[in-house]
Amino acid sequence: MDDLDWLRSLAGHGLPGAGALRPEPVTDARLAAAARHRLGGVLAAAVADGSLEVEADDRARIARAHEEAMRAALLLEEELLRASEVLATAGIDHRVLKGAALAHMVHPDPAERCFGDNDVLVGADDVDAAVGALLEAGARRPVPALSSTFDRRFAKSVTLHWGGGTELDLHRTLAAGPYGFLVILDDLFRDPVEVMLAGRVVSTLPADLHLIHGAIHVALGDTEPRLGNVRDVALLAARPSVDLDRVIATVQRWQCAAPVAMGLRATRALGHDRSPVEEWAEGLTISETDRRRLECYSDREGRFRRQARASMSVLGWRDRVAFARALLRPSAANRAARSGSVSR
Amino acid sequence: MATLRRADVLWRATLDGVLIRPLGADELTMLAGTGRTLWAVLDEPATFDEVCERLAVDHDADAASIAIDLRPVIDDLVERGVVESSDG
Repeated sequence: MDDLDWLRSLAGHGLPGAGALRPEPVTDARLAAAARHRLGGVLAAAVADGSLEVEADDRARIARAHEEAMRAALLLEEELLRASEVLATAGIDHRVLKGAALAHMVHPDPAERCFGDNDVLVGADDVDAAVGALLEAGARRPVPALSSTFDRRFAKSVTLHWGGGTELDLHRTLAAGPYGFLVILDDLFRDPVEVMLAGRVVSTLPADLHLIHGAIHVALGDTEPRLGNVRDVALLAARPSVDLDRVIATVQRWQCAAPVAMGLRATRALGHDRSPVEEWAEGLTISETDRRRLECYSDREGRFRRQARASMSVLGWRDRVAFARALLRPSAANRAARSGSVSR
Repeated sequence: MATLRRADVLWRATLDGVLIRPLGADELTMLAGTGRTLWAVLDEPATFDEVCERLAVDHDADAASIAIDLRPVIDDLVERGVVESSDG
C-alpha cells in the first residue's frame, strides 16, 4: 500500500463500511503526512482502540506527535474562549467554525480532531467592530485592510494573531472568490448549536451548515485538500441530523450546489458507505457557469487574480467598482505590510 | 468531602494519559497511567474512599495502599486548579 492509500484508509477509519486498517509500519514520512493532513488524532485513536497494531517504537512516536497536537489544540481552545468572550462583551453575535467546533460536535472524541488555528464567523456589519474589539484585547493584525470598507464588504476573513502565537481567522463568509459572495450570510446565524468548552458555552453552526461549509472548504480551499477535512465532511454527511432536503434547499438558494457536490464527491477516497447526501452529490450535473466559476479555484498559480475576476460576475455594479479599486489601489498600510512580508 | 474535575479546564485524552489545561494556567498537567482512571472517576463527585475503591477495582490493587499514594496526588491536582474538593 502506498503512502497516499494508507492516509486515505486512515481518513476513513471508523466510518460505516470503510475497510480495516492494515498493520503496516508508520514511517516518519507517514507520521509527518498524517500530521499535515490533520489525521494524527485518528491515528492515535486507531492505535488506542487496537484497530491498528504497531511496534512499540512506532507507538511512542505516534503518542508524542499526538500529545504535541493536543497541546496546540488546548492552547487554541483557550484563545478561542478569550476571543469569544471579547466578542460577547462587545455585543457581537458570532459562530465558531471548523476545528474546535467540529472536534466537540462531530468526532467521537475531540482528541481525534487536530487543528492549527481558530475560525470565527461574525456578521458582515460587525466585522469592523469585531476586529477593533479583538485588537483592543491584544490581538495583532499582520496585514491591514485593502481599503476602509473591504473587510465588511468583500473579505472572506481577516487574519489576526494572538500573543501565544495562535492564529484567528475572523470570517465574513465561507469562501474566497465568487462562491463566497453567493452565500446568504444571514442563513449562517439561524438555528445556532451550543458547544461546551471548559464549562463555557460557545455557539456554532447546525450540522447541515457545517456540512455545507466543510464541503465548500474541501472543494475550494487548498488545491490539495487535507484528508482530515474530507473526513469531517464524511462524518457530517453520516449524521442523522443532516437533512438532505434542507441541505439541497440551502445550496440551491446560495447557488453553491456545485462546490458542495464537489466537496462531497471527494469523500469517495475514504471507501465508506455513501450517505444520501453523498449520493445526491454524485448525481448532480455541474452547469457551464459553475464549471467556469470552479476553474478559478483550481491551480495555486494566479488563483487570487482569477478569483477576483470571477467575483466580478456575481457582484452588483457599485460593488464591482469598489472591489476593483481596492484591489488595484490597496491602502498604503496594506501595501507596506505586504511588501515587508515579501522582503523578509 | 467530595472531589471532582473543575468545570473550567480544557482536556484531551492521549495515548499515554490525559492532558489538562486549566484556563489561565501557564502549565499543562499530564495524568499518566492510573491517572487516566482517576480522571474518569472524577467526572462525577466522589469521596476520597470511593475514588480509592474504584482505582483498586480497576487496577486490581489494595485500596489502603492506593490511599497512601493518592492523597498527595489529589492535593497537587487541587493546587494546580485541575480538580476541586467540596462538602456535599
